Amino acid sequence: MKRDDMKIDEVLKQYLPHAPQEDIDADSETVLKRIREMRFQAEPAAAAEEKNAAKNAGDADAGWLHDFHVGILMAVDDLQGYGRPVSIALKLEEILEELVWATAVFLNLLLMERMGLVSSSPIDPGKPEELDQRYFAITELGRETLVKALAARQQAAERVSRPLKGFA
Amino acid sequence: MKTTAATQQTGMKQEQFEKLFSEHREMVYRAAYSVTGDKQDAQDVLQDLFLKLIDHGLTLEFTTNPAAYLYRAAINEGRQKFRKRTRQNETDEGLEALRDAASDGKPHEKDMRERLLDAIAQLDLEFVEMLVLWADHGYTDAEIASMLGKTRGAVAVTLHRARARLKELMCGEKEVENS
Repeated sequence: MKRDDMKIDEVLKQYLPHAPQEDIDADSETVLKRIREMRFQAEPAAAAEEKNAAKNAGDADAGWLHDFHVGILMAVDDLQGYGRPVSIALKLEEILEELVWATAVFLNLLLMERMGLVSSSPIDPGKPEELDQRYFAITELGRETLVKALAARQQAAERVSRPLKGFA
Repeated sequence: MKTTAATQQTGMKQEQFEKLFSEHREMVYRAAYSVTGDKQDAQDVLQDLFLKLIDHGLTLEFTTNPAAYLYRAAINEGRQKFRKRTRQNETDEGLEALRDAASDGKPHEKDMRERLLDAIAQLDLEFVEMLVLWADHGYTDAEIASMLGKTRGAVAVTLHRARARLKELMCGEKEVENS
């Protein structure tokens, strides 16, 4: 196209992408929900749901978590709500510095979601049934559990590095 | 062990966040969508921007014009996403060609939109800010001046330059030089 042929104002008005109001409302609601879950106490209903999930699963403290589970929570947290099962598995490999079995990661994510430690939302809202096509985010309960687990590991490491009193 | 977001303290209260979010969500989303043309990217920009504010405890009290600050950040972040996506598409060029051949969309419209977004990705940030406010939000020069804290004359001049530069980029620099 020659320069003089182009009416730039018309091009801008016609072709500049314009977000439909319904998308703005629906998408910002999704983002708001995700941010609340990731950074603040969840909404009352969701919080109650999380509490129940934790109750059903027993006390969701950090004691039962192995390095593999802690690593999954760290990976989900690091990916800031954009972790898909595949990317979480790759991140976990980075954290643990070893190869991991992606199916095991996926199954653990589903288990952790039942326990209220992570939550997920479909990447494509039109396909909510595709479990492997979901974004996982850490919940407030998951974050508390992760902090506890990391603190316990830190304490254990300090105990090991400290010489025993009166020994030798 | 590596530090994660879980160990960071959030410096912003939930009420502060909710207020900022409800006041500016639409403008941020619109701006991001205009420069990416993609719903998912716009959603990502909105989320990333507010997460950064929360994590850095930025309640935007340091600025007299939070709307302008967030708008600029959204345009900037959106353009980065668009550039990243374009680079990715270039590596998947063969696959894209197959998809285009299979799609029944309007090729001319798609082409014009892609060219426009490509050109916008190369424009100065200030130019893009004003063009999007004018074309997408329908703001007048005076409204743009008030939003961005500039004079009306400065906006008119910048918009004029922005249009000229955009035209150059869309028509191809060589052709413009030869014409």
